[in-house]
Amino acid sequence: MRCGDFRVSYASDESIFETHIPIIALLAFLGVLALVPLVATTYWLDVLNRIGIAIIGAIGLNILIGFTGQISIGHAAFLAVGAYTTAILEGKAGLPFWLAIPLAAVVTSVFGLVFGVPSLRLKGLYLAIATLAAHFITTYGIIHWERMTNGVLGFNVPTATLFGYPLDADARIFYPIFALVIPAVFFAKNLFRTKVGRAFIAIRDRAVAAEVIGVSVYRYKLLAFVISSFYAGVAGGLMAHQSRIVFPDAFSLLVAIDYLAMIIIGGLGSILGSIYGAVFMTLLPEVLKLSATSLTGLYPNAFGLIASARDIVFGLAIIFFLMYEPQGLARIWLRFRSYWKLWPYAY
Amino acid sequence: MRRIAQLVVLSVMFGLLVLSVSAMSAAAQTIKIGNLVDLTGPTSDQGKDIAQGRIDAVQYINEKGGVNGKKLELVSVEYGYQPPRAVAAYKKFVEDDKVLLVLGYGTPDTEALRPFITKDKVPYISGSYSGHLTDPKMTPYNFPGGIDYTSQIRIFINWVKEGWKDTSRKPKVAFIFADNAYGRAPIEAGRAYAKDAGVDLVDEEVIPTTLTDATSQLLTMKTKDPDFAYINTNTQWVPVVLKDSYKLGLKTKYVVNNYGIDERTPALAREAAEGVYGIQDVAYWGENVPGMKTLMEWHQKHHPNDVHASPYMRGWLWTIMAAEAIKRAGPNPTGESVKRALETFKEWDTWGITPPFTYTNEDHRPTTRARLVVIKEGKVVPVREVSVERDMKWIGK
Repeated sequence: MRCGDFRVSYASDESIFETHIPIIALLAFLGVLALVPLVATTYWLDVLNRIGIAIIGAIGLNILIGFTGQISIGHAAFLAVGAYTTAILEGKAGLPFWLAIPLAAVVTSVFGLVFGVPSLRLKGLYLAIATLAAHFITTYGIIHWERMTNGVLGFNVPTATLFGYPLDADARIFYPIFALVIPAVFFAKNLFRTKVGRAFIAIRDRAVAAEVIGVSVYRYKLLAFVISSFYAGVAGGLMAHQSRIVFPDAFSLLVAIDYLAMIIIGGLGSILGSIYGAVFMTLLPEVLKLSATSLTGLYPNAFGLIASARDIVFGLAIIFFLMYEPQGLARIWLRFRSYWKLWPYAY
Repeated sequence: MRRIAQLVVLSVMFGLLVLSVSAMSAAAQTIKIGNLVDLTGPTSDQGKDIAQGRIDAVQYINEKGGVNGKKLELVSVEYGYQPPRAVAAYKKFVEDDKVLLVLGYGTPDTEALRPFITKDKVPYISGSYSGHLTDPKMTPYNFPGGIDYTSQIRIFINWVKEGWKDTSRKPKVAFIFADNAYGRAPIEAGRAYAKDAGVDLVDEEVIPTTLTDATSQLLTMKTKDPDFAYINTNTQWVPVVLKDSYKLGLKTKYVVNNYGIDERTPALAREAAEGVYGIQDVAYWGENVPGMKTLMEWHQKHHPNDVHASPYMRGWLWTIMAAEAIKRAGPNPTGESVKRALETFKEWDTWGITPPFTYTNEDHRPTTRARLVVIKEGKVVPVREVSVERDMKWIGK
């Protein structure tokens, strides 16, 4: 039994996993996950795919808000840019999937760079409002640039092909999504073990102090926006393919709020927390919906009642987390784990 | 405190689990029908009643012994008027639930789903009456559940022309429509038809899907001074336009399409609603039509305290229509046979809820007849029946 945290070499100090067990568990989990499309129904695959996309998007937002401390409610706009760029590149310019997604991510990064500029002068709530402007400007642009975006009507995204396979079913698109989730998680995890990541954290904790010790606040704030929107671009591009249609209302302010809720519930400044939050926020409405559907047999009105309960439950969950566990699900899991690690002889 | 919270969470999760398991085991020898509704989005004013109507009608049909001895089962999904969520729901209907047909909902989602519906051969009866869904050459499996928006806008223009006595100038009209696929659906055809009919279309005002104020749009419209304006949005939002127009003292006469006006409008818009005309596809709650007795009895028996408006009738209508088609398709219905069965509807009596429906393999406009109503002293009163020809020129437009 482990009774302490002993790191006796630099290598062990730098390792992500303390023992081999989590690595094996993780690989086993990924192995099982890879088999899921063979058995799962379309419905659950759809949910899983949305979880995968939400994970990428939430990590992106957490890098910006949780690690760098730059509040943004423009995340839906960045997702929209990613989705529309992918859809336009593939639908109108005929680029292949593997090229369109990274290109869309780059375009979104540039977007993030531009809308990150106010962060150099603004902080906290003021920055939030500036990013809100980014949201509205983007939405306006999408709705009115009809030649490219088809305005409020949106348009269908052509089926992509990858290695000769058409990504026309949820079981097919599942693999590219999760193939991107894994590097997204590892890049983010490692980012905060590098100079750049530490600079982000320093800026979050105290921008002035960071500046004093030689962190270029100007550079790193913008870099945080760029990385964050790169993630959003990837997530948006995948979203376009997963939902098969790009539509301006799908990127409403509520989506940005949903993402904020994900990282708050999951845990600000935690990569694992982003994952938990994405899973939680995507699953919750589905669980509510399922319970509503099964209740309609017994009580026909339940369907309508529970459909509107979603937002209430979200609201309550956010209040609950802010009050009882501001560090989110990630922290709850940590506490749970450390409790059982030493059970029953806690000391 | 923490323990109690844990207990509550655990028991709720357990309850949900039990419920979902019990629901899964209930399905056997049933015909599944997809039921897509908006209960939380901008058209929830329609959605709540439509969902209720569909659920009630299915229960009614099942109590009468089902269709060809099989019970109907609704698979319901709420989608908040969001096309991407409708696509996800549709995938679930078709691939997981293997539904025989889908009772769809709005225009943005139904239009987005067109290619999938055609590919999967799933009959799709939609609450959307978009003209773009009426041409079987383009959308063979789409069946709009009422008089299409294009026919309605043609009715409006014809009505304006017929009533116009001033020979010194042409009548001036304007279109006010919601900024979504539903609002925009008939506008292009409307422009062309106005030109053909010799009516001056002087202004078009786009209003947001959810609306709190229409003053700026109406002020622009005021400068163009149209005699008549056609409003194409939802019941929830039409009163906003009417009230603002009343406040600004516009002289324009309004005609509202079928989803924009119903028995709730007078209460919502009060004096601003006076003299506003509407085109209506279905009978009102409690009106003296053959099917109403069944509906009233059902209502008395199951939920006497609810209040219903015309969307409730639409919920029933589309469900009995689906049931009739399944019945006609015989003991082993498929998507294709149900589609063919729907195309055998000839002057089919919709319990008197609407004018009789006719679908053919060349024309999916169920009817081109509707009612003109007007709001008088806080009541919606029918004026007369209105109709246009089934002109093939306007199909699919």
